[in-house]
Amino acid sequence: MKKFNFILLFCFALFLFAGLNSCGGDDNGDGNGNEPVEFDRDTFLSAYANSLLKNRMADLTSANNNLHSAISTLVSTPNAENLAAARDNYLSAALQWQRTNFMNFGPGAKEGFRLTIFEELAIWPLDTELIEEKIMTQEFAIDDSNRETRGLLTIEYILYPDQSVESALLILDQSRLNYLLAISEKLKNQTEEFNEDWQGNYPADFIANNGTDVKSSTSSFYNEWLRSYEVLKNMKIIEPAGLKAGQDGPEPELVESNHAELSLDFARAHFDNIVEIYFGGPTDINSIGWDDYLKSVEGGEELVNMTITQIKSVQDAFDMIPSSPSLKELMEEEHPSIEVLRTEMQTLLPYFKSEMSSLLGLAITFSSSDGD
Amino acid sequence: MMFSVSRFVALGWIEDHYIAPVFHFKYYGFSWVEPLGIYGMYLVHVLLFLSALAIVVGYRYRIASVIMFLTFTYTELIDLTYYLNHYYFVSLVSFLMIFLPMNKAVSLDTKSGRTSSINHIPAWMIYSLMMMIAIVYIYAGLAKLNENWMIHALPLSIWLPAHDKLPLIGPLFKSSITHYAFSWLGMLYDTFIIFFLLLPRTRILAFVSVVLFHTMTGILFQIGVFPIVMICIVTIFFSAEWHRQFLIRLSQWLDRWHIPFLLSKEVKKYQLSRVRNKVMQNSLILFFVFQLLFPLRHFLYPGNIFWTEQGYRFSWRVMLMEKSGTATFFVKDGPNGKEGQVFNNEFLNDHQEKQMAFQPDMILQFAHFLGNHFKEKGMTKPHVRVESYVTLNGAPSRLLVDPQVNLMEVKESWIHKDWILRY
Repeated sequence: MKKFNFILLFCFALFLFAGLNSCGGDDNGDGNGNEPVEFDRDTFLSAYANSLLKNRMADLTSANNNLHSAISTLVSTPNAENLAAARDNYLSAALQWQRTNFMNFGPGAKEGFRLTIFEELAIWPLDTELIEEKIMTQEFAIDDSNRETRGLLTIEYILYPDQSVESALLILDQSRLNYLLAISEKLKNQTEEFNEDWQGNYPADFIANNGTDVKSSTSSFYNEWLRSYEVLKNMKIIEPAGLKAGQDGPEPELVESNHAELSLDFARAHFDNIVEIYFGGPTDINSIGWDDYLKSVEGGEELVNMTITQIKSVQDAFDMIPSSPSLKELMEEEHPSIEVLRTEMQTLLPYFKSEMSSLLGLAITFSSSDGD
Repeated sequence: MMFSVSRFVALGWIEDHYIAPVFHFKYYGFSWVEPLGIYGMYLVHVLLFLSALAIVVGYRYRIASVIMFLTFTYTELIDLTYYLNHYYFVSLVSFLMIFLPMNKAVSLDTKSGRTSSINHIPAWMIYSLMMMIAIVYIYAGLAKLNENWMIHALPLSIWLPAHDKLPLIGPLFKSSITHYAFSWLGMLYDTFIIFFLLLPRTRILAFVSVVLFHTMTGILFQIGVFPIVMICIVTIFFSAEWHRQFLIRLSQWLDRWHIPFLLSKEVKKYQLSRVRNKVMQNSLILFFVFQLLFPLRHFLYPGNIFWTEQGYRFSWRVMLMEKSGTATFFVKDGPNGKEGQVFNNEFLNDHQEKQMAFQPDMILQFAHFLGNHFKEKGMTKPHVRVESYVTLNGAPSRLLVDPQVNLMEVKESWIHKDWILRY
């Protein structure tokens, strides 16, 4: 009898629970007409992997291949035309890099001795002393652990000993060209390696890992995107501008593009990419993105609206920075527009960092640990 | 414990938690506790593992239980950001275990004659463990009796949809009915499960629900070994006969492998001198009075406990809120110095930064660390302030701490922190 009662009670509880769920299956709104929309994380991950991330990596590979070709031509025939072409290709590759530098997850994550894609392909500040030593001795040690002696920004260092093509050609002797060729080939090969996984099986794995735990695609992707925003704010703006605690004044030599003086373009492209990733693509195209994911949860619509307003403030702050002189010089003279940009970027951070992860129930950190 | 230590080492957490960080957040009154360095910390974990093993086989139990309590509690005291309710629970239980004769039935200690074998112990020894478990569950249940949990199903309505891809049950987590069902059932479970475990008629059903509940929370949330700990420890509520039958079956099973496992059939009672018995009972009463009162200290502080977190820790408020923050520190030398922003990641790992950003006492500790750091770097009178935007249960961020306050002038204490802004 006792057993029968128990089974009856259990069945009733199960029935009640299932029944209530079937009744309330679509009812996850807040009852004030601001209903969260249905959202499927598989579709979300698939859209990012197949329409955006995969293409970003392919585009970077293509840009770095073109750069290597242009550098090969320059090395075989060092003249003004070929140097200008190499510089144009460098600009394309570096801008494409701003659209890819957040992909430090999956194939771009640290693995064994290989560091993240960010550290492998374009780390800075450079160790110019060691670069010069390598050039002088012609011992390139291209696979050593000194990543600050190679990568995209070292290519810039060699291509831009002077802004003027003619003056630069005078400095670009054979030993420098040899090193340039070696590091551009290394860059090309490394990018191809990263790209191979992205064009192969990784997108399927990325989509299949559809949870929200620390190691899930959603969390890894989010964490690296957020980290990229912090790199932009801290390393590209605050530190060279001397706005970091303990700095006595600006340290403009810490800008990303210290030699080509393209730092503002790079920073702007970096921010535009952060925004594009947030929306899942260019803002004029209706693509599925983090904003849609947020709108699917209660309070998300409000957060998206506040974020959009603050993104606009950051864009306005970027627009306020004069295009001439260079960002480096503006930082040197402590131009007030830089501090305005920092403030606006800092205001945007909590929306991206704490509010977004909190609403979506994402693990905000790679460093796993237990919780209760 | 052995599994937990192995898992900790395998995940590389000794380096991540104790060695790599530049700065460790301290427990109030335990600022002297420091990590021992890489070899020292590995040695501590080896000792912890071996002491747990010694307790399992009953080898020099008393020493082993003291070592387990000290080494485990030491590792927990190193960094406040790794505070977990279940670690605190394990520390308390391992402390109680020092005084319980757990090696006096089937153990190497009895086999070797180091101690005599018994099969009866005073009831208060069982009740002390039951009481500890009851405090955890009932306080955890009562803490859920708040508006957000009961009326708005928060934070489960944030956490559960994130698990919508779990096989079979995943789709249910999108429904608000599920969020409310989990909230209410969770509250009812925590508050009343002890009573159902105490009643012989409902004990089996209650135990099944313990297993289901903790398995479910183990699947949904990253809570480590907590589900295993709770499932195993509630067996203390089973009768002495149930435990005896269990041991007989275990003995029969081990016999197949020719492993001796002798159970005494005659009644042998645990003998304690009257004085010792009295001392232990009175000490336990004091221990439990403290355990009952300490979690209630938050009533002494004004403001929303979920926001200020004054009295939040050590009060069995388990999985109760979704809170996250972004804390930006600014330092200047003197009131008129040039202010600079701190990059938290130069001093803290991701986990530390995440925990610090929404907990006022940690914000204060980090501010003092920064002040001292920049003093060493040459600043004469560092001023440190913080802009800490915190979101509680998915609400839009608000400033947690007055951003104008120079935190270097604030001292940590038990009194109310009036520099925390009202929620």
